[in-house]
Amino acid sequence: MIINKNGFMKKILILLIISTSILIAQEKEKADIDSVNLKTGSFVHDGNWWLGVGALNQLPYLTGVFDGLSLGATIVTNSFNVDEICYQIGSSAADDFFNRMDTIKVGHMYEQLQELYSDSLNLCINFDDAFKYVVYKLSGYDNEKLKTLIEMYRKKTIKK
Amino acid sequence: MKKSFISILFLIIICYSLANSQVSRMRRDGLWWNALDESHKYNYIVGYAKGVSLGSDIVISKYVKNSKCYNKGVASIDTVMNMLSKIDVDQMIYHIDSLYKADSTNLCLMTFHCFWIVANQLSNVPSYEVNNIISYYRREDCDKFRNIQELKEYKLSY
Repeated sequence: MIINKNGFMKKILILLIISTSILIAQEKEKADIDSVNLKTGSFVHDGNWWLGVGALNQLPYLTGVFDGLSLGATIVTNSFNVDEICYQIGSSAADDFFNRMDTIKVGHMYEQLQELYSDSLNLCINFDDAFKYVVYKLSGYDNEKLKTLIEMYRKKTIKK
Repeated sequence: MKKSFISILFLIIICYSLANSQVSRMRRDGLWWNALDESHKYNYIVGYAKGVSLGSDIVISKYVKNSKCYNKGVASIDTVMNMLSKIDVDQMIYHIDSLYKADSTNLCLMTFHCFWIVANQLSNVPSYEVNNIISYYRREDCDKFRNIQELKEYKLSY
């Protein structure tokens, strides 16, 4: 009976250690260890970076990207008066993009980014362009347009 | 003995699920934020900052380079990016945590609105202006809830 009791306690202990380790591992993983401030322009965010981030971090990161788009677009359009042509061009670009995004969920974006970057030729494409490519793809761009777009994004990175 | 083992296992699973129950909440407000672990918060905030930059780029890319629209648009987002460059991710998380903890009526504020409130607070924007931003977001995010219970029970239609 005593032996059984010890065995039982061991099982509980092992279970607790495993669950604690999972929680600690989650705690330590961060998408962007090299980023200490919120300015994002100074880092190379391409396919290699994205695939190295890991699924646990990719999903909250993508949720953040989805939520931040609107503020970014509004900051620019709000710098103009509504009757200015700059405002009209800007807000129509934003409307077009957000309409395209209307039916796209974080999960769709995640799956499509994984697929895009699974082709090694696309690893050089930066995250911003990959994100836009997926939005255009899921919102109905035809194959011809998509091909032109992806070639442009690949060349853009090679030029740099 | 087996019974106790099953009960403890059940208890652990229940505790873990309760701790994470608001994570799957679709409305990204204080209840959602408070249920996230530190790593999740960190990745959300870094992603959010990337979204701000990408969102501005979507608009600016439609302007002719070096035109009046382009230059003014770039200047506006540069001002905000310079503001954000002075804020650490951990600092942003700490202040969003504090905003939600300071007053339970703030829990209805969307987290992405709190980001902007905190960014302004930390950039020495006069407090009356920050208060105006808070009031605006309160009207937008909170007016539809009469109490915290209504907020907890709220479900998005999709």
